[in-house]
Amino acid sequence: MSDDLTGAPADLERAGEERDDSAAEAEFEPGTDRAPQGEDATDRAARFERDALVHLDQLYSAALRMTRNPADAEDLVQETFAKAFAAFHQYKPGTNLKAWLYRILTNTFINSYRKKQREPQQSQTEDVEDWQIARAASHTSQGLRSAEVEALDRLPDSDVKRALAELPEDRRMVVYYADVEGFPYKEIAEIMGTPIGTVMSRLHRGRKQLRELLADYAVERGLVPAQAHGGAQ
Amino acid sequence: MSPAANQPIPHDTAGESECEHALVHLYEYLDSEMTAEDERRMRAHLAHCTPCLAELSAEEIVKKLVRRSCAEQAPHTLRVRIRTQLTGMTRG
Repeated sequence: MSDDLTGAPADLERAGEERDDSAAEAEFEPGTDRAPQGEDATDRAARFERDALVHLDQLYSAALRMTRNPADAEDLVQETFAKAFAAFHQYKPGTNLKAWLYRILTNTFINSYRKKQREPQQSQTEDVEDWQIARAASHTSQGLRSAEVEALDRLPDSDVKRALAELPEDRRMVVYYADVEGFPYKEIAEIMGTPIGTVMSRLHRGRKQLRELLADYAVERGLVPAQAHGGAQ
Repeated sequence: MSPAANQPIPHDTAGESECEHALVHLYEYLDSEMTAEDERRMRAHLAHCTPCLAELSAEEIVKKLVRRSCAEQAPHTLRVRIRTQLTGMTRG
């Protein structure tokens, strides 16, 4: 099964190097930048099961949002754990294991599953200025929407998942990582292999789009009084 | 991870009104990505600006909604599949 390593995301090694550059981290954790000395295959499997496999539910939840169907999500998670286990000697104890697993999940998804998703690739021209202007300009239109906002709280989980599924994948996953996992922007940037500015831009667009979709669903479900929707027009 | 790794960057505030500043950086406030100084400034503004506060509340609701809706449990069969696979890889 060692040929599984060749399928490991190229990013893994790069990530390893980045971590080597972090002298501060090494200082804080002397001697823990390698797998424990003298660890045999069985020990490593036990350590992996104890430390990594506990994140199964979270990785599965994320995979479901990525692939948007349970069968692909299961395959993706299984492949992710196989790659993570094969590369587990590269993981440094004491660093963020969950983020490391998410990085493998994201890379595996991009390499193996995205092709099947039949989703047109998004334009990468997401400059920051754009959403900042839109954001500032939207100030005056927001005040009238409080009835709408309160209605969102009463939407069933299925509507939220449906709305998320409608978002372009990059925005969807940034929103997911920020809201569900509560990862810092810097960590999301590392997981997705993008600059922080791109993370923030996707987050703005994603949340804005999500909110619009949820507002539509709330109207469809009759949770919002008709005159409150859209404010004064 | 060392705390220094996620230090937020202070805002350049030249030429911005308080509302502009608040709305542009609302998510950083919501996601705890601000410096203490910017956070203090944001809090001071929100304390007396109803539209900005309403905007924050809306974003808070959506954030909580996403968090609430996305917690899934992996199927037992998947757990078994992965364990079996790991055992195979350990032996191999």
